[in-house]
Amino acid sequence: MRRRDFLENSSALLLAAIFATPGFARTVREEEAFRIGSLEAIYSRLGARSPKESEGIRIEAPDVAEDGGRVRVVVRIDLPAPERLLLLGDRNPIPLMADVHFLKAEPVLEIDVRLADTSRVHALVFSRGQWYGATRQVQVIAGGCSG
Amino acid sequence: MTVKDILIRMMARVVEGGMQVRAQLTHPMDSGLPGQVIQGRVQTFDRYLSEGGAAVSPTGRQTLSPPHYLTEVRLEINGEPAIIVYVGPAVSQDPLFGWRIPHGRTGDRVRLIWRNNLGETGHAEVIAQ
Repeated sequence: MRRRDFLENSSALLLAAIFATPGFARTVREEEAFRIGSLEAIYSRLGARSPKESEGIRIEAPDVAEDGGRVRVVVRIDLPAPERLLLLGDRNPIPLMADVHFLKAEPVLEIDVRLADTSRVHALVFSRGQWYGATRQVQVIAGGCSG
Repeated sequence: MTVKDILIRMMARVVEGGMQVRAQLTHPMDSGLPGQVIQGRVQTFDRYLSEGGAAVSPTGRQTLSPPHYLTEVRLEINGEPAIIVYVGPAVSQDPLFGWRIPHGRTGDRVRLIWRNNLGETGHAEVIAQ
């Protein structure tokens, strides 16, 4: 084996070892997913295909929001080892509202979002190699036109 | 708008079974899309001109104001990453975030680190009570 090959191979092994280390969290913001306008394209981009509907995801939000500019949403997840949560509003110009990575936090998120119109809020959760999903309808009186 | 305009009010409270962390960031969360109400004012073309510069929203459209929004909020407990929240302009102006951390103890250092679409970053730290 030539020295150069050896160096290349060993650096690849080192990288593999780093990424395989438990607790090493390598996450990036999926810039493109925060620009896409279609739910299907976002799911495809993030590999979140065919989520199973699950009662283990609870979305708390008002049935009726006077002001779409500030809607308090709480997502509580009761699924084994949830790693990631995607929160989307289907009527927003940019549907992806949040992409959450749980490292050492409980699988709960409280967040203020904007909803452009009466919307279905979708929460998708990645747990043990599978995507799960839940949906909640929020009627919006005055839209919080935005992303 | 500069980094010093972003204020963070944060509290970390030890509760049964863990710690509750809540933070409110004062931030315009300006998506750049027209018609949006920012700090009590509807975005207008005059304001856009007065602030100068062409602007393009994340969807690629020409906009009335330069977009300015949070892209990431992360929490570290005693220096260890606990949760990372990547967000887009659909997060509210002056948004509130709430999290729960297991095994929280009084005295834990809770640090919030944010980033925005302009590449700016900042942080705030509190001690769990």
